[in-house]
Amino acid sequence: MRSFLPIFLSFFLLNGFFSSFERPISLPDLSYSKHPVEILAFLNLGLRRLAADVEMIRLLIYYGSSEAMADELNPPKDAPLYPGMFFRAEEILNLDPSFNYARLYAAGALAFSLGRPVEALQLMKEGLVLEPENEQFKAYIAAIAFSAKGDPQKAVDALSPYLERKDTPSMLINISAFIYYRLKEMDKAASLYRRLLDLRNPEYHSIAKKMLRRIALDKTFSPRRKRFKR
Amino acid sequence: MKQIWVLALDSFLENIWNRIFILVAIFGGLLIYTSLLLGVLAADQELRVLMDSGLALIEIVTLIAGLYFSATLFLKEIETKTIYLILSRPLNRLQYLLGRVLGLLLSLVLIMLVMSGLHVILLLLHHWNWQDSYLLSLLGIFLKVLMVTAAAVFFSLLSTSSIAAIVFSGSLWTLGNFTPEIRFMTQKSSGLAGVLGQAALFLFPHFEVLNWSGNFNGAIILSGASYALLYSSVFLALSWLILRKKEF
Repeated sequence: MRSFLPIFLSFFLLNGFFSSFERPISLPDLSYSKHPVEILAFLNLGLRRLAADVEMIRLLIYYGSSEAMADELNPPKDAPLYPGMFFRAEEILNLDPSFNYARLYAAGALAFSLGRPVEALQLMKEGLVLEPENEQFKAYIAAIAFSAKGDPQKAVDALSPYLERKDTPSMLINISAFIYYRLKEMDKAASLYRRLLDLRNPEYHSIAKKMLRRIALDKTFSPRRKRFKR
Repeated sequence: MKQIWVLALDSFLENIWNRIFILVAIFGGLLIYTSLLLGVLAADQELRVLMDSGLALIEIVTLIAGLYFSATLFLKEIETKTIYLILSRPLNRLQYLLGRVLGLLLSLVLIMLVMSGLHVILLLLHHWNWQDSYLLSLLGIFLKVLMVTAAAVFFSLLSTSSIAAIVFSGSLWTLGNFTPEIRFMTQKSSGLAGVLGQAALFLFPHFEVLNWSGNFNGAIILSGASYALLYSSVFLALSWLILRKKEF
């Protein structure tokens, strides 16, 4: 026993010393979570990032399912579409605050598709607290604000320098391309649709092909129409 | 030194031919396949999901193998009385312990190499660009498994039950992954809960210092690696003390 004692003592001291290198991590708020036990199991196995990935996949499925199916809480008729979008995104970002794709995807969907800029801004502001120098976040905040004011041109112009980045969700490229199309900026729209086709994610390939065909047709026929009018 | 290598090689070969190794290889392959499916669901984030799930599976499978090998390593030799034959040779108990543990670690390295090779091939097929941080992640996983394996060797000699050793060291793994959260809760609590939380921080391993997937530099890696090596050495020293006093 006497020989054990110094080893135990050195063990405690060693462990105590190295514990100071560790950053305290807050427990994610699981009060809105649909799968709290599963998330805790992931955390116990040290798989925090994977837990965030799985929740992100769930968010994509949730947003991809039909609106009626997605309204899992049976909200009243005037309730917003996909009411759980913000909380699901918060849950993912609690698990992995550096998961910028999740932040951009949820904020983009909330601001540009679901018309809930306040929640989108909340997500982006939280991101900016963690990364105050992140120019992409600042641009997103500007774009959300312009979009909320009803100025899609400025919104999409604010986003455009960051649309080439790897962590930009395809959904946002698709929205931006469509805004350019509506604004009759065909070259910019076509360039973004071509980018969508180059991405590995096949989700928007068919839309991009359709829109490229439409842009080509518009380019071909619109000058003739003008000539007819003359 | 030669005796240690002979024993290490013997352990290594025995583990390779062990059925659990084949099962682990099949299990790893299947799980990496599952991670591919998850990757498809993740759309834009396919590579991230493929990377995270692959590394997680490598970690879990290596851990399971490490726990099984280390918990049964000495007990099987005691049960089959092979240990009498080995210790009757000109070999002291420290050499015996080091040889067996080294063989065990070589087996784990091989398991990790096989699985990570498969994982890298999958990633490259998905247009992944090689990053040196991948090797660091593997090193972090190995060091975590090393710590738990050393604890499992200690618990198997202490409790003389492989199941108890697996349960104890498995719990240590779980708690070691939870220490940042325990620290957070300790900071928020006072009284007995705070004291217990603080005590837990002195007792449980801190795997967070080996998570190098985010920001890291040479000092962080060096301190993490030295921590893992010291932690494992303490458990091996304790194992040696038990083995030294054990009567066969």
